[in-house]
Amino acid sequence: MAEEDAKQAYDRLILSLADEVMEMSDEELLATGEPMPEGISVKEMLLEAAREHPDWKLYVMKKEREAQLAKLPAARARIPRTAEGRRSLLERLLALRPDFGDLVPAVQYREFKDLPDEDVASCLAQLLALAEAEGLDVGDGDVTP
Amino acid sequence: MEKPPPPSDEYATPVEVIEAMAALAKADEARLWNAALRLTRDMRRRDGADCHRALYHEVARLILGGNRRWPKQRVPFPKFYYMTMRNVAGKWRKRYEARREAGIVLVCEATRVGRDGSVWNEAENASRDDVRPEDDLYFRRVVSALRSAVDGHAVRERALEWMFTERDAMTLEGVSLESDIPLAALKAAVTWIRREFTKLRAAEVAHG
Repeated sequence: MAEEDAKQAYDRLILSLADEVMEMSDEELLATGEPMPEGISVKEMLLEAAREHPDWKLYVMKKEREAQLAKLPAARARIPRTAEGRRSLLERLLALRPDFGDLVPAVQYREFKDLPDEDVASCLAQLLALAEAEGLDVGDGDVTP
Repeated sequence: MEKPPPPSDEYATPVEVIEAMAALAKADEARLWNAALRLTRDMRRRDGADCHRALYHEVARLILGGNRRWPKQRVPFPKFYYMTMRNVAGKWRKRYEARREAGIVLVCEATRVGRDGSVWNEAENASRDDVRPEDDLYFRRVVSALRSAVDGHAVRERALEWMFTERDAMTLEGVSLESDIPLAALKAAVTWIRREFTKLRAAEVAHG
């Protein structure tokens, strides 16, 4: 075999062996793969690199927002599925109780139309919880006094 | 009649990439771990650090930096990450060959950014002091030893040929159909070859 062919054959062999891992079932991987050493996490190594990226802060903020939302399960269940539905419900809620707007900083200092969809969902969860506490009848994505 | 254009890919934002990293399942972590080990098996760094770790970091930086964009609806993240690792490791390997011919052995590269914003590539700082002339013969010895090991065993011979020359052009299922060899037998042959390769590699390392 010519030297150049041997080089290519060797490189393809390396790639084949790596491809094989990715095609294994979980059981095959457990049986034949090299176990990860104790305390090693691929996920952590990737996130280590991600922490250097400017958008890491955005990711952390998003996670915090989601954690807040998760704490409001009852209100969250009433949030409409579509971005349009959520925006519409928030508009009606604020029309019904304009004073609620003062309680949520994201609404207080910004034009409503400028609120990103994620913030609309977060505000809505908080305001629906308030509406419930105040005895406003909140139906299936609808609000009636 | 003209074909309709293919659906345009929707690429993930950096935040979506980070979310996918954080959501990696244990089994996918194990897959990427093993794949990176295999891709960098014969690579080494002058500082003794693991090449596969450098590979994870380099690929993460490339994807987050937008140099490699993840079409999130078309390809699952672990698969995309692997394909990028494969590509980067292939480039390292090619550069390694070029450097080795010039008497430089450092393979594994990583882009570094200094505090002052300067960018350099570690491999460019490689020294000629680490030259091991036997490296030039290593790949030839391995290829030749594997050919000898499968000699006389038709299924293993076919599987090795596929791994050496046809891996990117044909699936193992395709080989099975074409050669009338049961797929399970071919898979078993690939496993056997991998074990043989691991033994050869261990013997090489033991001999320094």
